[in-house]
Amino acid sequence: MPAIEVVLGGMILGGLYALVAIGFNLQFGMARIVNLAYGEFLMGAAFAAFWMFTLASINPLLGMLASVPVTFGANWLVYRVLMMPLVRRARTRQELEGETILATFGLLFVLRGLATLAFSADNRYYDYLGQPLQIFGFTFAANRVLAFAMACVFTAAILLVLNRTRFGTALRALAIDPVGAELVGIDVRALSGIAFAGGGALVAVAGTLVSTFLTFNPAIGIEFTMKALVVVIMGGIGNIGGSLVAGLLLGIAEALCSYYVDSGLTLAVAYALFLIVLVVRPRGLFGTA
Amino acid sequence: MTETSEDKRIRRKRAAAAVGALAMLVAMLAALPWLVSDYSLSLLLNLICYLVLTIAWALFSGTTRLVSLATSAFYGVGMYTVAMLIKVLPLYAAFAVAIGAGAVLALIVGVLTLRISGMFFVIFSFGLSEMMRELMVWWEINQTHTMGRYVYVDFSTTKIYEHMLGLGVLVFLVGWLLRRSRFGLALLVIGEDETVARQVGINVPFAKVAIFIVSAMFMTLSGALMAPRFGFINPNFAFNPLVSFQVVIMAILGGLQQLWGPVLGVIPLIVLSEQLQTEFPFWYSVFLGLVFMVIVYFLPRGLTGLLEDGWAALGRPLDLPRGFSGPLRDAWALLSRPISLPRGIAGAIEDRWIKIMPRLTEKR
Amino acid sequence: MAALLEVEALRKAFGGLVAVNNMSLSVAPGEVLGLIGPNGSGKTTLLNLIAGTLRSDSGRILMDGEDVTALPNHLRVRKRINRTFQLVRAPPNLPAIATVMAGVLYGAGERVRFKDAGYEAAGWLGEMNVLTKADRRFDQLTYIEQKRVELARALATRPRVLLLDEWLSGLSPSELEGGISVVWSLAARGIAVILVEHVMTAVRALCHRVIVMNAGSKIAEGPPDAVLRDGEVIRAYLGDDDA
Repeated sequence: MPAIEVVLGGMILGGLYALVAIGFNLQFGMARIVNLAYGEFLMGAAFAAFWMFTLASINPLLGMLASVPVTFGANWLVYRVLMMPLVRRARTRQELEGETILATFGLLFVLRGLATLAFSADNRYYDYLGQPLQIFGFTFAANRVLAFAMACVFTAAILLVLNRTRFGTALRALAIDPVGAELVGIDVRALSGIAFAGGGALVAVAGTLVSTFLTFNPAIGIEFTMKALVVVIMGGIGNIGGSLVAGLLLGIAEALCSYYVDSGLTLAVAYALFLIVLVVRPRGLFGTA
Repeated sequence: MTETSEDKRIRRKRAAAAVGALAMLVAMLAALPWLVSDYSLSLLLNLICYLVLTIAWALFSGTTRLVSLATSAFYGVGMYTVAMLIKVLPLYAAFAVAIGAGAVLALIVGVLTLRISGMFFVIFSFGLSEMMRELMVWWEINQTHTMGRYVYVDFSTTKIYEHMLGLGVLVFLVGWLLRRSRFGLALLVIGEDETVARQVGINVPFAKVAIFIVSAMFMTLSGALMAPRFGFINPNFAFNPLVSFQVVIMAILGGLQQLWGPVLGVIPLIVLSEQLQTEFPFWYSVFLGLVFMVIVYFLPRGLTGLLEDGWAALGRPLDLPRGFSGPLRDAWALLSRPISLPRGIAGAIEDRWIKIMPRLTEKR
Repeated sequence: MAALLEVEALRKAFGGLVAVNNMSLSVAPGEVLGLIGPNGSGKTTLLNLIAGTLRSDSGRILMDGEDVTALPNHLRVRKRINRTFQLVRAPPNLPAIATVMAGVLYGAGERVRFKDAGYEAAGWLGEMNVLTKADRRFDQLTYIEQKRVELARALATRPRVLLLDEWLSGLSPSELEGGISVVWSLAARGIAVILVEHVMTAVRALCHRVIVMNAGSKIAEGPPDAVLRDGEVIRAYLGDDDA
């Protein structure tokens, strides 16, 4: 496999990482919550798609019409019930970060335990559009290409909303300075809740897409959360465009490592990139607000 | 109330009695393996192991206020290093190498992440255990073509227990000394306000890395000690994120203000885990998560906070005749003195005050 | 008298904003140098650069002839440069004496035993007249008490150069008098003091020399009376109409 094919393959995975990271950025950069249980919602969406496909033969993309709003609502509830007391209680941003890390750490184990109870710890896999596809002379699995295309669509949609609508501008204001945003009349609490829920919705999309071509089990959550964190920090907290670029970078790096070194070292690659960025440019590749 | 030499003598006698009581407690614990069943010994071993882990965790995270989620990483490094080296090295040498490996890992992680921001450190520590597991799996598959090691060595559970008990006494001692030392004060200041710490002349990154390494070495050694207990160890077993999680819960449940706080957190959780793990292993994870969230939301000062509030609410207790319980209570008081002032300062302040402003001396 | 602290052409920019532009100054032992200017002129940034909290983009800082520009914050403390903060900072949950003890143990230069540190810290607190509050938690002290504890903390590190960031702000007239005499006694002891202030009575009373900053640059330097009459300075504070 020539190097270029590896890189392109990496970009496909990178598109998904970008999507996951953007969702995390909505929760972290805008709602200011470090959600360590983020990956668990991805896992949940993956299982939902799995059950819908294997039990009712529902196309995963159609299934998203159900799972995404549900995850949106669930995350909105999480914000209102679990996160808002912490937001009210915290006096500084650092305190809030610390408290949300602990609270969502607990939530992570609750969700993972429930999932393991409900679904058992076995690996799951289903075949959807597993046929190979020829594009410009390179061969890719159709489901991966679809996943990449969907990731592009959603990323473009988010970027459009953020940069061209009033709602998006309010969200960006929230990321830069919540106090200032409140002073210009933005309802910070309500908007944070929507941003948080939006992040959840995005992760549900990502989870569904991931389930089409990856083997998964209830324990995959942590890995995705870590990668989301790494990508967000690399691209700059609150910087959606940065998450996009950094996500693609991570995907390519992983693919290269997978091909030339070993496929079992993906998390180590993410960590290595994380450390390099931290040491060289602590503000992220594009700096932060 | 200046401290007379009479007071000093009484204080020294009480301190000696307290230390004596504690020594007796440790001796009793050490004698237990010959008095209890195998099952109870196993339970006790778990207890002491987690006590070591939790106190070690509190050494770093309790002072600097940086939540470390990396306990599993060091525990796993300890356990797996011994598992890997047991065939080529004598057991104690394997322990030594394990501690070294833990220290090196802590040094690398600390130097790279502790200089930058607390939050990045927490995030990094979160996935560290997973990454170590991944690395070990990769190593095993590619280098040795095995997946897990057999650990057959003549090191009985009783021996492990005694060693772990010794480690527990040691970590307790380190914690106690830290509270009364220059370095401990530096860590507390760092935990409260890093800017002020720097402005006072404290080398903040160095201090953080130093205590992180100390904490990691204890965690690594406890993992190493536990290795001979299991006949077969694979990376998934050694690097279990649940260990990190349990330690954090135990520490926060027990409360971090007092040195004996972790005891209050470790005992109930270990007892509970024994009950739940066998019958409802996956419910345990859910249950832990819920308990943890309850603590974060309602009991931020943990059980010690609750106890302290309760004690204060009950008012002054009845004065018991000193007898046998007296030294025990002194031991209790000795252990529970939080770091505020060294004992002599109250006297020093009062002396100075009396010398400078005799007219303003208040009646106590 | 020979200068103790010399600052040469310091510059600090945050992105496009130049907070400190080519600032030079020098202070001699026992001298009180006032640093005044409208809000946002870069005074606190300059103090941060001298203290080591921030790294300058260019320029040099010489302490007793020695180039300390490359030293981080905690090493500058060991070179006898210390400061107080505009918004009083100290560990909120520790007793006051613990903060001062930290200064004695880590900043004073010679190794002090932990037991003895308490006595020395009590001494500094006594000098600042807050000895009775030694065992109170910092966040339980009144504003003026907190300021004094913070100054005790700074003094415990035996500074030869002391940077006071609006230490006399927010005080009642009688407290201000007390504060002014404290600063005066510091200078009398030979400490070189750089005083960032808005309270002009204090500036007139204390400062041998005053430097005025505006938008990061020095616009005037000289004795307080002359500087405060300077047209440029008045324009910086009040605008064109009143010059």
